[in-house]
Amino acid sequence: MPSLPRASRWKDNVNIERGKFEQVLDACLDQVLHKGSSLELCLEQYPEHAAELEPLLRVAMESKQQLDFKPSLQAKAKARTALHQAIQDHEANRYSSTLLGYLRKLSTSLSARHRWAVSATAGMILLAFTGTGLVTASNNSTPDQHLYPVKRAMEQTQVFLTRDDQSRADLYAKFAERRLAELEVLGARGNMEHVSQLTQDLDYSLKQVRFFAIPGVRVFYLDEGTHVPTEFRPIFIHGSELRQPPLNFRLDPKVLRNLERLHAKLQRDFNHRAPVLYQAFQNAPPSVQTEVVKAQQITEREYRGLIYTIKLVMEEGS
Amino acid sequence: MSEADQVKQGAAALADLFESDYERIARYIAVRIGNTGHAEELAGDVFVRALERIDSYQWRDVPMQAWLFRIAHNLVVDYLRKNSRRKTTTLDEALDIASADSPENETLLTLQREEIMAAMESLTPAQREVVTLRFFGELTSKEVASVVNRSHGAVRELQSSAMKALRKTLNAQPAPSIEVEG
Repeated sequence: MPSLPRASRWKDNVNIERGKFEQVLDACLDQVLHKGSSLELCLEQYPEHAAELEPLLRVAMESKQQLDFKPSLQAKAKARTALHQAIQDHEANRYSSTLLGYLRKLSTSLSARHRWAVSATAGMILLAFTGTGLVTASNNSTPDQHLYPVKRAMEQTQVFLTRDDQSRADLYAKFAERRLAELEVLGARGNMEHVSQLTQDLDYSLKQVRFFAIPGVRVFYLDEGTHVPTEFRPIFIHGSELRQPPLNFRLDPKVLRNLERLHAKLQRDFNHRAPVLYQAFQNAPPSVQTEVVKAQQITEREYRGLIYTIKLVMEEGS
Repeated sequence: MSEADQVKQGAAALADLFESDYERIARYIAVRIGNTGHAEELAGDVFVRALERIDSYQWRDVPMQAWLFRIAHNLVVDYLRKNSRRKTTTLDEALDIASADSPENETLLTLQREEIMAAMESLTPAQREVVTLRFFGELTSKEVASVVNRSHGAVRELQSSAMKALRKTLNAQPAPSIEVEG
């Protein structure tokens, strides 16, 4: 193999050295800008580049420090409200492309008397299916079975036919329990193929419970993340106003009773289902450990967070 | 998974990313446009715009976070085009000037910020984009590569050259000083 000319070899060496320095600079920037490490510690790690690194890292730190700013909580709350409203609108628009969606859209634009007619039509669609053994048979199905789409379609229909927020919250709580039960069955069977999807559906159902259970108030957790928090600090948004307890409001006795019932159900479901589910997960093969851990984290976080928040709202509003 | 489920999943992911990434996106936009109030609004618009296009996202081979920063970049470009004649630099107003312990130090801080902003403006557009995403968007260089659609190595090169240019520009300027009377 012919040897490279000397000048070319020298150029290659320079490129390698330059590439190495850029990697070191990159690693140090990660450490000092994002991980809170000290500049000195980084220079100690790379003594051969310390002289060149130091002034560049100082420029980076100075620039970040001088131009950094934290958006206000009010601005974030306003943007959050707009996003969640947009999500709801988006969902409604998408839903309107289905037959039931069309009926729902139609019902909102009609007078009360005509609305009844539309609801009755939707109810007949539901009855047409519920009257068959197909739906009954699908009740205990899991995602790995053919009848499962029927079960989920019926759930969508039930949501469509449910008008008030509190009943929707109850319905989603029931769906969340179903997802837990399905996860449990799949876990026991050692079939982890659908765990990830079911976990997302569980997460979605519990978020919907949160959304509908406290009308007009949206709740977010300050420490919401992928980890399992040990402490929850919910913030409450009423309209565009952001509040932390004490909230100084009074709940209607009927709403309070509903919340008590919902709280008891969620607590019961979590206490009964979660330990069995985690037991079933212990037999999961190593290839799906990540999905299983995530499922467990989301179950813990969302159930515990929701139970805690509803309790807090009941205490504040009673 | 059906298309409807993918869209539902995408919307849920956006709501979660909002909680973790809103501040970073607002910071990135603020430094690019030099106006914190508008940056807060535009950061919110990023998520709404993403939701409107969530159906098309499913076909893209980039992480959702990188996609959000791409949308933020596009909004910044639109904003700067529309506001080129009346571009204002009001970054100082919302920054933590209260931390300055005297009016002299406050003025000094303002001067330093102006210098850094000017130095950032002197970078090439590609260098500025990389540095802003890296410093204020708090992305790793690999994530920046996804946003700007360049190789990881190219981003590291741009980052290195940008920092050398920043240093050169800032060193060339005389250090700001305040004369205190009495």
